[in-house]
Order: sequence, then C-alpha cells, then structure tokens
Amino acid sequence: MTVAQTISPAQRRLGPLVLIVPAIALLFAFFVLPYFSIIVMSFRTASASAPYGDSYTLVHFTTALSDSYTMGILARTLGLGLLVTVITLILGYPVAWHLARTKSRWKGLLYTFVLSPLLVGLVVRTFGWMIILSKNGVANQSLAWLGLTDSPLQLMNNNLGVTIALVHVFLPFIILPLLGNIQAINPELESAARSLGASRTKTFFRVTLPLSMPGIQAGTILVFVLSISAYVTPAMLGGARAKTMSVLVVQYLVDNFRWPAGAALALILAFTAIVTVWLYFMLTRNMTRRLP
Amino acid sequence: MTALNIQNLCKSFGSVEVLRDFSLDIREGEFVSLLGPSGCGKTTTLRCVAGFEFPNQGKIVFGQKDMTYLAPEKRDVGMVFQSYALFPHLTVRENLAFGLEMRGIATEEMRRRIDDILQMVQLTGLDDRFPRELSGGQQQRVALARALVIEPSVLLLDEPLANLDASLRDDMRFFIRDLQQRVGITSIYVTHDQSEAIVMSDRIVVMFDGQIAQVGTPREIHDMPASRRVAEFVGRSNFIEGTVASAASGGMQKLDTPYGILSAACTSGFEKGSKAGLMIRPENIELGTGKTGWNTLNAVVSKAVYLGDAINLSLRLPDNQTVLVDAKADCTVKSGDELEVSFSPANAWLLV
Repeated sequence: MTVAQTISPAQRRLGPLVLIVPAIALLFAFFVLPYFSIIVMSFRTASASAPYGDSYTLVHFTTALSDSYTMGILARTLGLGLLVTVITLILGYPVAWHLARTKSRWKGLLYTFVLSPLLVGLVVRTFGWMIILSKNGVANQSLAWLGLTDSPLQLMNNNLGVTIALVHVFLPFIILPLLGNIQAINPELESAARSLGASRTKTFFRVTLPLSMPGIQAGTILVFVLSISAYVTPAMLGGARAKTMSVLVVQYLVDNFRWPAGAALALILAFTAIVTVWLYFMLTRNMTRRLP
Repeated sequence: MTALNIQNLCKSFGSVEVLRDFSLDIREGEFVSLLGPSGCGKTTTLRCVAGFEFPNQGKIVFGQKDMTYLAPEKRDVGMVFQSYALFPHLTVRENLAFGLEMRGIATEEMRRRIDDILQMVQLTGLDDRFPRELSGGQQQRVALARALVIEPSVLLLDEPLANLDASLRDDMRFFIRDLQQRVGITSIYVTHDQSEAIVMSDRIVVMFDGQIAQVGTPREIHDMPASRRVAEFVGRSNFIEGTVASAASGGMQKLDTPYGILSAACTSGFEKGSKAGLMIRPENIELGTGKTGWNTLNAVVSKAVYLGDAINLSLRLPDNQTVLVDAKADCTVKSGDELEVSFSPANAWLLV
C-alpha cells in the first residue's frame, strides 16, 4: 500500500510509455527514417556522380506511370499476388480445418509438415525448386519417364515456376491464421446445424465458412502482401519473362544505379498494395461485421 | 408423437467399449433421463440417437422407421447442446429460422412458427439480438426454441443446464419439463445430476460403465435402487450390514445386525443366513423412538451442521459406524448428545 501511494498519477501514466520507448526508437530508426528517405529520394533528379541530384522533380513517377512495360510488370505482380492468394486459400483451408479438428496422434507431425517450407532457408529452398523445375529437372524427367511428355515442359523462367514456389512457401501464412480461427469455432455448432437439417455442404457454407471469415481475411492479406513484395523467388525462378515489381526495383537500384527512379517504383508498388488491401478490407468488412 | 426403440446398442471407440447391449423402449411423449457419472456412455447413446455416432451393433427405431445409420440431417431430431451451440453470426430469429429454411418452409409460415415459439419460451421482442447479447438463461431458451420450432419427432437434451448458475438451473428444470409436456414431445435428457433427473423425468435410466444399471420411475430409482452403486449415486444413503434372519411376509425381511434385529422392504431372493445391507436415506430417519414396529438405533451425535432449513447430523453407532440423519432446523441436538433415532421399515431397503 505505502509503495503505491508514493507513485504519483503522472508517474503512473509515464510508466508504460517508458517501456515502449525502445520499440518506438527502433521503429523510427529502421522503418520511418528509411521510408522517409525513399520518399524524398523518389522526388530527386537523377545524377551520374551521386545517388541522386540536388533538385526536385516528378519525372520518375510520370515516366513510370506512362510506361506500358513498367505498368505491365505492375499488373503482372498484382495478378501473381492474386493467383498465389487464391491457390493458397483453396489448398490451405482443408488442411487448416483438418488440423483444427483432428484428434490424431500425428497432429504434431502434421504441424511440422505445415511449417516445413519455413524451416529451410529462402535461397536453398528456391534452388531446390530450380532443381525440380528446370529443363532437365526432376519434374520433367519424371514426366518423360512416365511417357506423359515428348519434350520438356517450360516449368520455370515463367509465371508458373514463380507461382508454384510462392504457393509452397506462403501456405503456412494462410494455414496458421485459419487454424487459430477454426479451432475457436465450437464443433457443436456444426453438429447443431446438421441436427437442424443442413447437409455437410450446407453446414460448411452457412456456418463454418462465415465464422472463419476473420481467419480468411487475415491469411489472404498476409499472403497477398508477401507475394507481391517477394524478391528472391521471382528473381531466381521468374527469368526475364516473369519479372515482378520488386525484381525491377532491384534492377534499377543495383544494376542501373537509378536510385530516384527505383525509389519511385518502390513507392508505386507500396501505394498500390495499400490501396488494394484497403479495398479488400472494405469489401470483406460486411462479412465479418456480424461476428463477435 | 413418436415412440423410440433402442435395441441392443453396442459402441466401441478403438478398443474401448463405451456402450454394451443398451436396450430401451421410450413411449410417445415420454421424458426419459439417462443418468450416470461421466464416461458411463450416456452421451454416446444420445449421439447415436442424434446420428453423430453410428453404433457397431444394434438398432434405433423412431416409430416404425429404422434410423440406425441415417445421417443426422435426415433424422428429424431436435437437439439442445450443453454449450447451447447458437450460431453467433445469426440473430435469435435467424437462429430459429435455420432449421425451417432447411426444410423449405414458406416465409409466412416461418414467421408464424417463430413468433409462436418465441412466445412459448418467453423471448418475444428479443428476435433481433445476437446470442452474445443474451444472458445464459435466455440463450438456453433460444437453444430450446430452435430445437422445438422444427417440430421434431424426438427432442434430445445433452446436459443443457450444466452451464447455468444454481438458482437459474432450478427454474429451468421446471421450464423445460413444463414445455416438454405442453408440446408432448418424446424426449431424452442426459445428465449427471440426480436431482435434475428425479425432478424432471417420467423415467430414469441409471448407467454405469456403458451398461444400464436400472430403469424406473424417479421414485423407484430413489426408494428401491437395484444396487448399492445406484443407491449411492442417486442420493445420500446409510448402509447397515447384517445377515438375513428369517423370511417374512409382504416383501419384508428381518436382518440380524450388531444393533439388533431390523426389518426392511426388499425384493424376493434373500435367503436366510445370507449377507445383506440395509439402506436408509438420511431424510427418512427421525429423532426419537418413532411409531410401533419402527427400527430404532441408539447413537451419539458426533457432528451437527446447521443449514438454515435443516440440520445435518452425523451420528456414531456403538461400533463407531457413522449414520447420517437430516433433522428439522429447530432441533436443539448438539455434538456429544446421546439419543435414539428410528425409521419405518417401509423406508428401509435391503440390498445385496
């Protein structure tokens, strides 16, 4: 009691603030400042002798936005994000549902399987996919041996290879939020729906699916954002034909040394991503509004 | 109204046998409780009737229709769950409409039936609330209404009162029983609470270890238990051991005990000289010598607990056996007192 009385209300209010200072400082130094510098850089003129010139211009934005090649890559990047998101949702939902409801003693092993894509380093994993998907790779050799193909299929250096590899690595990001969500749905709700006359299918669409909307929302946003900003996978498996925005940005910054133009591209991607996610959020808001 | 026949039901999960040769005939409109400790198979029986589990052997017949392997949605049962299982994303009215929609009932008819059932469970005016905005008792009544509004042939209740607080639970017992009788629906009620089963049921099925231990009216189960285990599960009881002294007429038997010859009611089958226990419920023992022909015991009070409306006495018999007695609240007996207690042989029951 006496200890509590010696702390003034002002001190009590300051206490929590003091505790979050390190986190704020870290965020400021490594997130806010770099972002701010990218924003500033994107409005600077180009320079041959320094990262950027001294005066300000909008030319990097206008050039990029009016360039059909760049806009094509942006569109492909968003399309790739959408495709990967839809595929992971369709593949991940049954897995999440099963994991949430199973009483099997192999549950722990299943968890490990789900997390396995994340247990291998990014570059190693992508090399693995190159070994499988290349012209003379495991996949093509197996197909030829089975007599299913006459000539090797083009499985990488295109959208297909990138999509396969991204779906693989981002599956856990949709399964885990869904798993937590579905576990929180009382299984007796499904039984209740059945006893009221709903078939398995109707029970799923009328009860289970609406109640798993928060998990779907979280998981799909996560996968979408991660997919459109992925770099290593499209860089290694996409080749020249399946270039994405992040690959293009790195090309500008590292290969061409066009820092302001690259910064502008990065900001265009970031802005598009934010708008897309916001729109998606607005569209799905009605579906989660009735949930507790 | 539908009669329900359960014939020789067996169910195992892996190597664990949870239900063994369970047979029961339930009459039209009858309210039957399955009573037993957890793990006795009562919930499994209910889930087999609902269609959530399929038995390894046996038959479940509603009226004339064999339902044993039918999917739950094709059975026409109404079920009330322990967790209520109300759909959290639907309002009260939408919850009630769910089953009617599945049956393709027309909008106008649907509204009428929902209005009627809401009035019956006294929830009129709450139709637009979400389940989370209701109290536990109200949620319970919505669950009951949702199961009844589809006018099922059988109503199944799986410990529906277990999550309510004590005072509400007492009210809901009568509410459910009253509603069941008004609707006249054949019902199975699963509970581990013997007083709930006694108050509500037409008949009680006491179950232990996947088997039926006794089927009977609440009075039969309480006053004439089939075994000591049933006796102890259904209420508090005292046992006085002895040997059967002689055969007597009128279903009465004399028992030779360390406290003298005591007589008790019994079924037939007790032979002279065999060991037996006399069961007497604490509420049937009175202080004093009692009427002529009553059994009397001399004892010392070892503990007296005042409960407000009664006093629970623990008495010590000469050989240190304890006997529990419920005395009236105004009795002034205190610990250490020597006294005489008595009980009618009609209230005593002989068990092996």
